[in-house]
Amino acid sequence: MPGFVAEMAAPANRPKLWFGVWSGFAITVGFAALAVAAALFDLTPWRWAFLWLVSVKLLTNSLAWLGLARDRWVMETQSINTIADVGLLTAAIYFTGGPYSPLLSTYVIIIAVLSLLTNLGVTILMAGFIVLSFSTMLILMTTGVLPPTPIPGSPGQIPSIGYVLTAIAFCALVVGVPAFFSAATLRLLRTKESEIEKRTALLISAATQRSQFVASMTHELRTPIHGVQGLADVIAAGVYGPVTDKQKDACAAIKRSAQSLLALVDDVLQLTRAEAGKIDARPGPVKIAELVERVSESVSYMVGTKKLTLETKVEKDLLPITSDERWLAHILVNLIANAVKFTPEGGRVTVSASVSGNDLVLCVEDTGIGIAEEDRERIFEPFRQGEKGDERGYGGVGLGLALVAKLVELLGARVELESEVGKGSTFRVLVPTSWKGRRTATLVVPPRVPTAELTRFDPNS
Amino acid sequence: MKKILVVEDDPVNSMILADFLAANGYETVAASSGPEGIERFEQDAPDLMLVDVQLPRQNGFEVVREIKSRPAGKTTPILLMSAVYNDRDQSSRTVQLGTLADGYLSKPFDLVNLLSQVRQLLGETK
Repeated sequence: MPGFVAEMAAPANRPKLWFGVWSGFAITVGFAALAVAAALFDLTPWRWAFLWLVSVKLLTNSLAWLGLARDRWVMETQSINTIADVGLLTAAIYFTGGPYSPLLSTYVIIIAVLSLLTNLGVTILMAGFIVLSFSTMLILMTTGVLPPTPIPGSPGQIPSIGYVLTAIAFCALVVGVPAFFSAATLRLLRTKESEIEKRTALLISAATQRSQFVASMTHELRTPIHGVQGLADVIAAGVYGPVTDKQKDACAAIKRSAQSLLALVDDVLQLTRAEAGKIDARPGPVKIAELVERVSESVSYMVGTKKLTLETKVEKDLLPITSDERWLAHILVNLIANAVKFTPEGGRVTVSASVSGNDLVLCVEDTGIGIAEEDRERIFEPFRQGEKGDERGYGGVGLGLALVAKLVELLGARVELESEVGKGSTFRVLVPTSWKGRRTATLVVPPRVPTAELTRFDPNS
Repeated sequence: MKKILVVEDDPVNSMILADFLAANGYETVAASSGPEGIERFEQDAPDLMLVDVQLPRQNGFEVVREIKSRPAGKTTPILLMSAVYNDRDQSSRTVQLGTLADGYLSKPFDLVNLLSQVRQLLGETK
């Protein structure tokens, strides 16, 4: 079955199918009344035409109704019903005068209804089928296979009152019933649409509220950390009296702790922004050697008192690339932070940059605990660490790599991971040397909160 | 002794600034909200002002605009202070603030940088 036919079976299209079936029954009842009228007015070919229409339509329409009611063979019964409509009509047209039949216009009605209730594919298919069945009838008539039928009310004859009334009733039926049902269907669909719009607006505002809440929370969290850092600074500077070396060391340690707390708070904010789809890229020339140097300087505090070797290796004479410097720095900082965290004392973290083909390769290699095969996908999800990380009680909420994954996507880059448990891990970020990223990213992360809770969320409560 | 007005709502940050500046030979006056800052400015006629952006009732931008519109405030150097979350914020903030104030400090403070900016604005650099 072609895709556009199968598509009509979708739950969203069910109301349309039901409307088709009910309007089919309504038309059948109308045809039955017309058959009685034709018998009364003694319009022999019309009587046969209408009886024929009523019987077959009743059969195929009931099949379609059964299909829908039982939810079995839905599209099969629907297809039979639709094809039967065209076949029946062509037969009725033959009985009522062939190419001169006033029923000819009904073809147009069928197409109009199909175009409203179904899709383009179905409509075109049935239009083709109408042309095919009509021309078959004409060929059969001109070759004499089908005998010509009498034409009541043909030119030169004054049509009988009965004929005129029947023709008017027929016209009203084939135009009126589909028009009524199509209008009703469209109204129903419009109601659904506005319901969907309302729900969407609600979801969007819930998501916005959530990220605004996190943003203001983040500000509130940062302020006291600034206080801690500032106090450590002024004490160490001797503002409150002479300080011993031991006290200076303690102040430096306080500052380092505050800094790592601050970095975590920043990650939360960045990720919230990314989730709200708010991160944008500003591509420009990036000097790699400078970038790597700046980043490794700014992360030296992470190493702190841990006995680790942090070294950088940048290929000589690297040309500037076009990318977003700030986000590249952020990616590096997060990868290095990660490496430092999971590498035991005496280990080594190596940051290197080189060019391979059209990509700049930024590489962060560590001699840490490594990442098990089964964890390699999920470490890039927010709030996740590898199983081993959870067990061994490494700190952190697992935001860094989730952010890396988002930024890499924004920059049009790729990230590769090689790791051996117990030996270490290598994260390789392949950044296109010419800009292939996006200007803004609508990086939507499926909410971790169920929708029902999201809509109930009120930051003021 | 040069007088510096610190407009900052967080008491700890306000204390750090006051103590640090005092230790470096400045007299400090503190205000904890926008309107109070403007009132102190009128009363104490400081030589320099440090104004936080996130202030209750009247934010730092409004305070700076208000003071710069007064005759006495035209020549008073003002340093705006704000927490920034990343470099991107910083660049846009700098543009925004540069047009208003005479300088800009990002939180958390680098005390050396703070001192050098203060000295420069007060014309004390050699």
